[in-house]
Amino acid sequence: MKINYISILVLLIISLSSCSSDDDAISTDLTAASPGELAITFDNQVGDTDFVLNQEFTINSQTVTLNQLRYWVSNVSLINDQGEVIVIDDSYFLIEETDAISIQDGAYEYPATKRETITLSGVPAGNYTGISYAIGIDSKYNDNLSLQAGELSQLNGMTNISWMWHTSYIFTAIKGKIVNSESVLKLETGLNDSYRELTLNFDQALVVNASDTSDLLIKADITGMLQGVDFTETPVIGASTPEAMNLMADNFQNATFSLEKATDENL
Amino acid sequence: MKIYRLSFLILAALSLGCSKDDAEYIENPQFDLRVPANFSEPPEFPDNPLTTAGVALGEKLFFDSKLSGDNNISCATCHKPELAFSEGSALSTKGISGKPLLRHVPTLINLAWSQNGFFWDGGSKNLESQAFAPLAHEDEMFQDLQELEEELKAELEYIELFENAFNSEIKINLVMKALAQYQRSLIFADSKYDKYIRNENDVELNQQELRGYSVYLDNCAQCHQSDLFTDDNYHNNGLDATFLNFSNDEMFLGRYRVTRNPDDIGKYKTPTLRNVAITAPYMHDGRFNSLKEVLDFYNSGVQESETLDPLLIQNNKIGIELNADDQEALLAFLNTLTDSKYL
Ligand code: HEC
Ligand code: HEC
Repeated sequence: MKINYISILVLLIISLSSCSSDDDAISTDLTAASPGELAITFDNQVGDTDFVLNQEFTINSQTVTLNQLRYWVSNVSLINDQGEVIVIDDSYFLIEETDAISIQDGAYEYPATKRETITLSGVPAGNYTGISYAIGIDSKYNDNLSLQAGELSQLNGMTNISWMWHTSYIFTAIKGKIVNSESVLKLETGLNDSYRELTLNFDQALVVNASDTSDLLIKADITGMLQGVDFTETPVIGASTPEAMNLMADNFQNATFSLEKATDENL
Repeated sequence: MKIYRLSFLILAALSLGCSKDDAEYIENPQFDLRVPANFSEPPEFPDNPLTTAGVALGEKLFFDSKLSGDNNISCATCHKPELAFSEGSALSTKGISGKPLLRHVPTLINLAWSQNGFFWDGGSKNLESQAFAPLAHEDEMFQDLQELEEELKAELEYIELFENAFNSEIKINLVMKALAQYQRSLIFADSKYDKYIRNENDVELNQQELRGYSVYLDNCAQCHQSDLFTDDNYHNNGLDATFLNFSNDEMFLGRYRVTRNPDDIGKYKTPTLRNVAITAPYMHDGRFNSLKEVLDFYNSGVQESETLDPLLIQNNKIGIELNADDQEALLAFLNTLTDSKYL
């Protein structure tokens, strides 16, 4: 019955749509049912070892150190045991572990940052069985930097604005060096073709309710991100190396993320 | 499957309500583009509709040198109104570093109708995103964007103008929206040709100009399509025979840099012929200094390559061969395309 009520409301609002958007109306209704909080942590690892900036790791048979690991997690939605999809509006989150970054070729500096956890509040109470999200920025926002949503920003160095001939977001950035050769690694994806969606299913339903923050721990394996990438052949990956960029985008979709834990207990 | 959308801005949305938006709409009326009768309706920009206050703010920003890192360079430094918003040199050295830019400064003419990408290769999808490039680039305005927000916020006048235009405090993305609105308001459609075509005030083209018009229709109009005098598309018009310079992210390969399609090597966006009499030098690298040179090029300088546009091969001959009289007439016609509204 309630569902019906919601859809009638939607129709009504869409037909009147001069005012606030349909999104608000539905979520108002949903959040009325004692919502809970969900913390999602992307645990960056190299294989089974916790990732640490500037520490030597062997990846693709080369010893490398990384001083920057950043990627956009966007368009998050949760799937519940009723088969319903809860779309988290405006969900654009920058996950990062990075040294201070000089932005716009040194015009200013972005501070060293470690950010692995995003917290969603107002999540409808329920039993959740899976999560979907994308790596990168969908074309609507990628094609128009003046549209604002979530954490999207032109000020954090994840745009190609200082690169004169493409004005859009950088989706993922992995930077560092090959230790032996001192050769610089600058591995980036961007452009609409690199946008990838993926879904992780939970073994057991994750309960979200008002009583406690529920937690999702997602492993992000850097060896997966870089699987098959030839550091000697393509130490710099970007728009002018589309095949390598595509490989990395596919890696983010298929070889990087796995569920470590979904629990309503404290982690 | 049911899909719900969850917004975290519920409270904000509820407390602001929608009445304020309506009020804002009344206070800040739509900008009247006054679409010329010989133009089609421009596309709509639902994410950034033109308003009088938005265009006015954009104009102020466009001419304000605070937008550059050293507060000496404005958009208008390189896009001069008196040159139909072009710059006058082949490769400008007016940027902050003084280094010659890698491409020629184009005009900003009737951009509200431009829907197929900006820059000579279409590397930017819309004016809202495009403006970030000159602002941030080290050889152009090299502006710290965060600092720009602060600089603008220090001025009462800007605080008010942003309030009027966007009902918001000053934000960098709104700077882009205002600049885009102003640029879309720049309509060039009052040349002698336009008045003739619209039958205004009995304006006539003379014999010579009419002959030039027909030479244009026969040889140039497929790409420099009337009445915008561009087809908003990309062609290789035969400037070069080879494309072997891969430097600078392959920007010397033209449109290919954006599409990665080998068919697009050497292609550039067709520039409008409006105001062309006053916007020398010409082409994406400013290689020709006069219209005469351009016509000589089309006549006998066109280079063959795999992506050369088929329109430039006529009767098994490469180029657009025109006799001296036709060339003269064509030049006379091109001179009727000057609209001095902003000059
Ligand atoms: C230092 C000189 C310089 C400054 C300053 C400058 N531009 Fe440009 N502009 C250029 C050049 C060069 C190009 C062509 C670049 C290309 O095609 O790769 C260009 C291209 C453009 C285009 C694309 C037009 C088209 O038809 O594709 C627009 C729009 C534009 N500029 C707007 C602006 C705005 C807005 C500003 C101020 C925020 C600005 N420019 C500041 C040099 C400049
Ligand atoms: C096949 C399509 C095509 C045809 C036909 C064509 N042009 Fe062009 N024209 C272009 C393109 C594309 C450019 C830009 C090339 C570049 O800069 O790389 C251009 C550039 C120009 C320019 C330079 C404008 C500026 O602002 O830099 C002029 C002038 C010009 N053409 C005139 C003509 C005339 C006159 C004719 C007919 C005799 C003609 N064109 C026929 C495609 C065409």
